[in-house]
Amino acid sequence: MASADIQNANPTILSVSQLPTRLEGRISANKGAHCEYDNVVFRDRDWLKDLMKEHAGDDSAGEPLDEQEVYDLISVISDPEHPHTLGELNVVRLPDIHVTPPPRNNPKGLGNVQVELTPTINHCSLATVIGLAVRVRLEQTLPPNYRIDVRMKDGSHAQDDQVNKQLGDKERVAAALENDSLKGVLDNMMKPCFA
Amino acid sequence: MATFKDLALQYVLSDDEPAQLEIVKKAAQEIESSGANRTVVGNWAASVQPWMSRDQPGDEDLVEDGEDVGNGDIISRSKALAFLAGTLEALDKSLLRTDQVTFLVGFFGSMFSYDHKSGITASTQALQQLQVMKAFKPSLGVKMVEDLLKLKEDFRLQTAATRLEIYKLLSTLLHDESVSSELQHKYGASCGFVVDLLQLCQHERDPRNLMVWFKIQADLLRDYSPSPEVTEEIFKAFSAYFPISLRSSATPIGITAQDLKLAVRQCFSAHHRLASHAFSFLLQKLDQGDAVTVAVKVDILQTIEACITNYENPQVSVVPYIEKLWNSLKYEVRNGEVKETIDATLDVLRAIANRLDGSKTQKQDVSLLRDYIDLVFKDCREDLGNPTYTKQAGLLVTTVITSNIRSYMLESSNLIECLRKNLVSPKSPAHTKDLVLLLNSVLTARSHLIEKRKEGHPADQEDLKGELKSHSANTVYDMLSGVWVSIPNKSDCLLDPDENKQTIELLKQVIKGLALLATQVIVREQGDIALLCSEKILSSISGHLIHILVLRLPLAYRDPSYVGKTENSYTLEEEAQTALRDVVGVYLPAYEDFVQRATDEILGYNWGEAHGRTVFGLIELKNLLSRLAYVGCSRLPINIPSDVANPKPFSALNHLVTFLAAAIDLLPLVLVKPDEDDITEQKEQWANLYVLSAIHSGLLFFHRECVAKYTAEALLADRSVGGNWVEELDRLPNNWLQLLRSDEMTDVAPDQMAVDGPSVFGRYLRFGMFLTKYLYRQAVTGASLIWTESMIEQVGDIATAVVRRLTEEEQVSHKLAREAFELFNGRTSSAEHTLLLTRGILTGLWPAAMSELYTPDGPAEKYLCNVPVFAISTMHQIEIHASISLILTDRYKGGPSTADPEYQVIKRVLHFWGEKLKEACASADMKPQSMELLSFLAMKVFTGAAARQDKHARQLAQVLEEALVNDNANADILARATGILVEHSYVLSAENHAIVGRLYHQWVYNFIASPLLQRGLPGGGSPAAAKRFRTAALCIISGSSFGVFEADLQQVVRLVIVALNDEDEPTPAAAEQFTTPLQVLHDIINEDPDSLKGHIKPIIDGLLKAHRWGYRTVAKAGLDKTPTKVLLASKIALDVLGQLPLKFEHRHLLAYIPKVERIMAETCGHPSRQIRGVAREVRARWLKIN
Repeated sequence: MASADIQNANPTILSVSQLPTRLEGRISANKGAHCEYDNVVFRDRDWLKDLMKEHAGDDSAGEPLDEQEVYDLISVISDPEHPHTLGELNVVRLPDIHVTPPPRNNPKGLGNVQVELTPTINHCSLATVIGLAVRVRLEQTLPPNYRIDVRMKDGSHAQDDQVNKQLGDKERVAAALENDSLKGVLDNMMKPCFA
Repeated sequence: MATFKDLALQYVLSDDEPAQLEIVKKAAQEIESSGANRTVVGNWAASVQPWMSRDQPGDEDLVEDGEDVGNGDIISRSKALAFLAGTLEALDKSLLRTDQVTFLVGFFGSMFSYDHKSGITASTQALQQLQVMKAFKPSLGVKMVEDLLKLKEDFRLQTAATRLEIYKLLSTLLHDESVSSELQHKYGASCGFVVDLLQLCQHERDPRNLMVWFKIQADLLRDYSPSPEVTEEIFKAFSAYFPISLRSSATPIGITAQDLKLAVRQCFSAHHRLASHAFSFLLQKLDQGDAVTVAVKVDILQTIEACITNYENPQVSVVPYIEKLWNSLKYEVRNGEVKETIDATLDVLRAIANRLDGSKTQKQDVSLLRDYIDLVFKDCREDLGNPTYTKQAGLLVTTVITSNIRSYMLESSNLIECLRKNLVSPKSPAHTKDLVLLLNSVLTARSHLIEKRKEGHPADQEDLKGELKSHSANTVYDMLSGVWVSIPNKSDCLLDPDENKQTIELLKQVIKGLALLATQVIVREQGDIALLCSEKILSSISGHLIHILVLRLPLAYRDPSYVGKTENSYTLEEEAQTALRDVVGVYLPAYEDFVQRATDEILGYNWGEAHGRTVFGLIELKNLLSRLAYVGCSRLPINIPSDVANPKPFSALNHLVTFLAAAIDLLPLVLVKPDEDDITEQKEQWANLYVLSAIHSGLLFFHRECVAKYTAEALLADRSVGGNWVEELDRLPNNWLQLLRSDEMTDVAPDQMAVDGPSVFGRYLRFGMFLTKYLYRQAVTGASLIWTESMIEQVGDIATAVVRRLTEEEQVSHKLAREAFELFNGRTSSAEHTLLLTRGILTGLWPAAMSELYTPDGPAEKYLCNVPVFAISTMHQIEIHASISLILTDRYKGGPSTADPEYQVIKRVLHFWGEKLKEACASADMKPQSMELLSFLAMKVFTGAAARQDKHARQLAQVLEEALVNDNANADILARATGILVEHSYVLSAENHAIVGRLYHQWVYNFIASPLLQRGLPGGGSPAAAKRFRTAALCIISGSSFGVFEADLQQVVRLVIVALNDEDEPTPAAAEQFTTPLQVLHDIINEDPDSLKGHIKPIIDGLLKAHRWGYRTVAKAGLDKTPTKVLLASKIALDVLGQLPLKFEHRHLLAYIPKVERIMAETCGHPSRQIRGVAREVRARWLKIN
């Protein structure tokens, strides 16, 4: 997109360290020169990892789909006009993702994933495209027993009702995906997901 | 005559180069055999007459028989002349007489005037040969040059190759001293011939020719004394090519643009008489601003640098242009943005300073250098106070001042004073950081100058002695500590690094500066060096650094809100850790302080509660202990005299001893709770484990440093075996290391610390052995609430780290094979938990050091044939037992002059275990759990022998053949255990002196797995037995690399497909039925996918079957109760499925898309996060199929 068309030329960008991640990943990044022989000294006795898992409160009975996992799936989608991801632009936020898993006694029952997006400006005309990309990404990565609901966060967009209506209409979504130029835009946005 | 004529004719008619060479050799021999008789030479010269025109000069001498063949064609004439040139080349160079040489020079020289079309190349080559003749006279050289100049305009019409020959001839002539003086004698100082030469060559464009032409011009400037006018003409000639570039060509010519640049640069810097032209020309080019590209700018700057460095007499050649140069160059740094340009500019400024300083043998007048530095400093002083330009101005001024010792001594105090004033009232935090950065670069440069002081002029060293010691140290320390103090709450930087990025960067620079200051040395009156800083300053510096390193532990331990803040980076601590390592390398008490402070801090907390409070406390405990090991053991300290009142004499081992003694004193940090069932699971013990792991790291760091500093060979050479250490160390008290640390050891084993050089390593091993012995005794006899199994295992690893560094002779001399079983207690221990200690020593032993164990019916045989009671053993216990068995069967060396001359011990052991396996499989009496343990242990026994490629291990094939036909569960278990034969084991590493054959895996495949392949395919025998053979073969194949089984690929593929599509699904415990064929398939699809082309359908069916079995098993049992190997089966199946669209044409896969997509969509809801991730990737790849 030409720079003249950019609607928000100076969005706030979050650094990688500010993005939410799982606790284990954060701790394992701590490797200085003093830890050089850790792999020799500890060999396969990875106490620290076990300790972190336990502390992070991992459900040892399983690793159910959670908000962080959904965030990891969609936060890496690239913005259509900035060379940043939706996570870095804070369009996708962890607290605005809600996952309702299927009932424990029926793992194939219906689950629900709701994602609320926050455009960088409230008159962003690309909000629908971003919402569509998030929706497509989730449809391609979640099991079929999950209902997907992508919407603009209340008050974050001047025309959030209309955008939500478009994103919620399955037929309009399907029709949009038939449009080659729009599909090209979506493919570009999805590229970082497969890097 | 006739002979030469014939030869010439043959030469002209021939196109074959070797034949032509033969012809000229014949001609040369003819002349040589006649002793260069005048008539013979005349005949030879006249032999080309038929191809020469009648009106050629000199032909009246040549024409004898009046033959007239007219002008002849150009090519023939050229070849005829080449015949003469070739003969000259083959001729003895001392043969021809002066008159003959003169005659020939005249003849060939005349060609430049009369035969521009065909005679030039050959004549030039002939002249090149004549020029090296013994009878050659310098006056002939002058004639040659004059003849060449007659070419005039026709020169540029010659081919590039011809011109190259001419350039080469010219270069040789002008470089020849006698010809050169003759030319100067004839033409005088004006070197008039040069102007004609320049005109002759002015249009040259060929890169190869240019290289020679530039060299000629540089030689003319350097070796001749051309008048100013001629100099200017030469300058104009080569400067017209500047900046030179080279078009890329499809046919490389072996010359790069950089070669041409260097050649032109040599012209510019050839002689100082060019100075006025060169500097103004180059600066004019430089000042064109944006019109000049970065590459050209760098070329200009490097050319200026070359001129400054190479011009003689700097008072005349450099000084007059300094101001002009400075005024142009300063903007390249001040306003420059491109690193390459800035670096090149700084190189020029440095070159000026060095030129004005003088050379190693002769110094210039000091006023020249002083004036230059004043000029630079005057312009930069103001900029240092301006945050926008501080960095750039600092770069300029520090570069100039730190160029050499004299300039440093002249102005460094002024620069530091200027930085100090600015630091007192900085304009912004970034300004402060830039100023500290500058200070650091001054300190770095100072160290470098002092290090290289002996390479320069003797006066430099004298200058350094005059440096004001206390002043510079105090001033710099005050500056840095001022900044340090201005950041009051450093813990904020650790807790909230994102908010304090700028402060962290500043603190990092200050930390660097403090370390640089602490390691500065000063040259004393006697010429040796001493530390610059006083003890007070060094102590304060180490105090600051230690403060940073111990700051995080209380925060992590006490502050409950610490959780979630750990994603910050540890850069500040890492900087402090590196800095402190440098400081303790020269100021030894700092490490004692660090250890004291850290241990006080660690002992201040109850680590028994740590886990209940926050795990971050334990993490930071581990970090702090590792830092103690790193700072003290990863660098050997250096003995530099100072005014420090050190209570201990210097020893390179001080820090190692301090660290080991302090670490031992820390144990135990915590006692495990006796009331809990399984103390191995208690997290509290990790505090103790971290102490041991730090000791282990410390030993490894020290070893690495010794190898890096002295090389492994030197460490070995500088050791004497010297008695039995274990006995000697027995006489020492348990607190020996502590006594050494406190330097109280005077009467027992004195002088342990007083060693230097590579012998330090011998002492290190001695301390290591003492430590091992001490820890082993503690572990065997100490309280079980401290010495849990994990602790003992770690102690065993420490023993391995020490023992494996000993030589074979040392291990024998210290009787370590015996100690492996007696554990330094004088009697064999039978306690179960001590096996880990036995393993620790055995792992590090050389095979020769273990030979005494292999006497028939000796310790090794007894141990190997000792069958544990499987019914009451756990897998973990058997694993430990088996790892020792593996070592014992691997390190075996039988044969004459060994303890087992008949090679019987291992043969009996293997036979024993083979029989055990057959017995166990013959009936179903043994419980499956016991069979699992038996097969594991037996396979480990066989693995050790197989790794050595012991022929007795081949009997396993026969054992399997007989055992696997039995139709019971035990045979199934044995089949699944065969993979152990090729499993990776750390005890089988070269570092641990294991005996591992180069073709170990190939050997196992050939002798054990290969015979099973055919039996594993359906068709022969019972399907159940075939399945067992299949499993056994695939277990071995899956642990081997592709190259091992490549020869039997088609058979292996069939085996894999049959295994994957087996109707009976395995139990979770028998997941190998799927994991092994999947692993093999994974290898095959990556290495040779074409071999699978005809089997896509059964492969996809098999993959989906294995995956669905895995999914169902997880769904039924739950993720936590599913064996890892089941998840592994699912993961590999999905991995391979994901590879298919990448490896095969999509048309082969179209039929399976709906099925795979449906299953992958479902798998995106798999209970395991990792499997979900893989399924998503597979789904995306299959979605792209069209």
